[in-house]
Amino acid sequence: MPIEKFIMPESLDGALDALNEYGTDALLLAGGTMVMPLVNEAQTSPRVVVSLQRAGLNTVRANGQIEIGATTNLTRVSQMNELPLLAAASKEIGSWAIRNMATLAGNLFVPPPAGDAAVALLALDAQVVAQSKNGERRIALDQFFTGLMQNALKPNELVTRLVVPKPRGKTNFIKYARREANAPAIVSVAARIVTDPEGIITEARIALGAANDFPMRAKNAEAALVGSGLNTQAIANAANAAMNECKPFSDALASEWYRKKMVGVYVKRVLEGIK
Amino acid sequence: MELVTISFKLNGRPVAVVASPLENLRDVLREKLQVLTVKAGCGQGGCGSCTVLMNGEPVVSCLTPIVNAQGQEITTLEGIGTFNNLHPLQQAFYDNFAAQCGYCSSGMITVAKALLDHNPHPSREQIIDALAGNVCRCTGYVPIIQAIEQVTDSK
Repeated sequence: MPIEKFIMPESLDGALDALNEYGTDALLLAGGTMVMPLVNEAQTSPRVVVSLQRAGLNTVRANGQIEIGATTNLTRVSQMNELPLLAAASKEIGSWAIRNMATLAGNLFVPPPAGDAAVALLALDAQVVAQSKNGERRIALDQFFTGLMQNALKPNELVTRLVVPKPRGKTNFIKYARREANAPAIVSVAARIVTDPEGIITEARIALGAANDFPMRAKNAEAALVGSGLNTQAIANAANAAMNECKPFSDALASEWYRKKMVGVYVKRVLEGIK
Repeated sequence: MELVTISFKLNGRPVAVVASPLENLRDVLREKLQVLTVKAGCGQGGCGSCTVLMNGEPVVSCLTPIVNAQGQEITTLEGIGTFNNLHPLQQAFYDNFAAQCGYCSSGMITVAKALLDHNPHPSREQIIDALAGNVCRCTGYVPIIQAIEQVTDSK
């Protein structure tokens, strides 16, 4: 069945109206980097396509917390000095041209092993703002992913922005992939740690990409760090914990076995290089 | 889907096309506007041979719905240099044997042009970084990088 209708709302309200009217018949199109390959190959035929290009969802505001519009492109995000962890992760996605088109919220909906910006957002305790005609609610990103290509959104809800608290602590991000660009991750790791004046870790976040059906927090690895200094033993414990709690899959890039091993290697490297 | 009329500037000239809203910009440029320097490679955004500039910024035209071009300025290789008036990048590609089959060349030069517009003196690393989305099967990339460095050195 060919696509019947194309809608390009010029406001958030227009987009919410479209979602309300067409519900699950509507496929949302943001940057186009995920949807257009499917359209080009006629591998998707939703009844309705709704483009968010003109809905005004691409502003960035910083007042204490940082609010990033859903359709802010990844080039813009990769230049955000106020969020170096997110900027670093975004810079690893695709290529310059792809980043000029792809959107931050779009990165929440990409199939694994993709989703490197989402990995950084997890380590930053980001919240998803979901709006519908009924109002607005916030979903901790930690609770957003519920399964393979499944999330906590209700059918007529739209992600309008990501909210990131003012970042605290030291961070690092590494993406291990087969090529420098246009390469989905074998594994990607984002880490953030907060230490007290004696160097004891009081807060730890370790997020993994391509290590499960969706970007995940390695909470056992985090627990292995809290209360300790960032020393060799603590890092080894965290790397081991991360290896045991992740559930990677095999694909053309890497096997499950290799991904698990690389989670251990790269959690260690990320923590060793954190600053 | 209903056809729409999309008007935009192509290499400085106003143009208008009638197309389906989700027809991609690469196909519109090649088939409706006879701009054949824009190449059809992978159709997935991964090879870069379809790269054009939208308002000076590189985009992969194979993934750009034509509706997104409405009111924008699109630049292709024809807007960068012509046969009788080569852009220094094109001259440098010639001087450095940076094109063999030539299929990647439009995309490479287009991205290099955007890079130099942003940053007239990029380092080798910055050049490589900017071109990371453009693949070449023939040259091994070295002469392409040398060609771009030749232009930045002589600026």
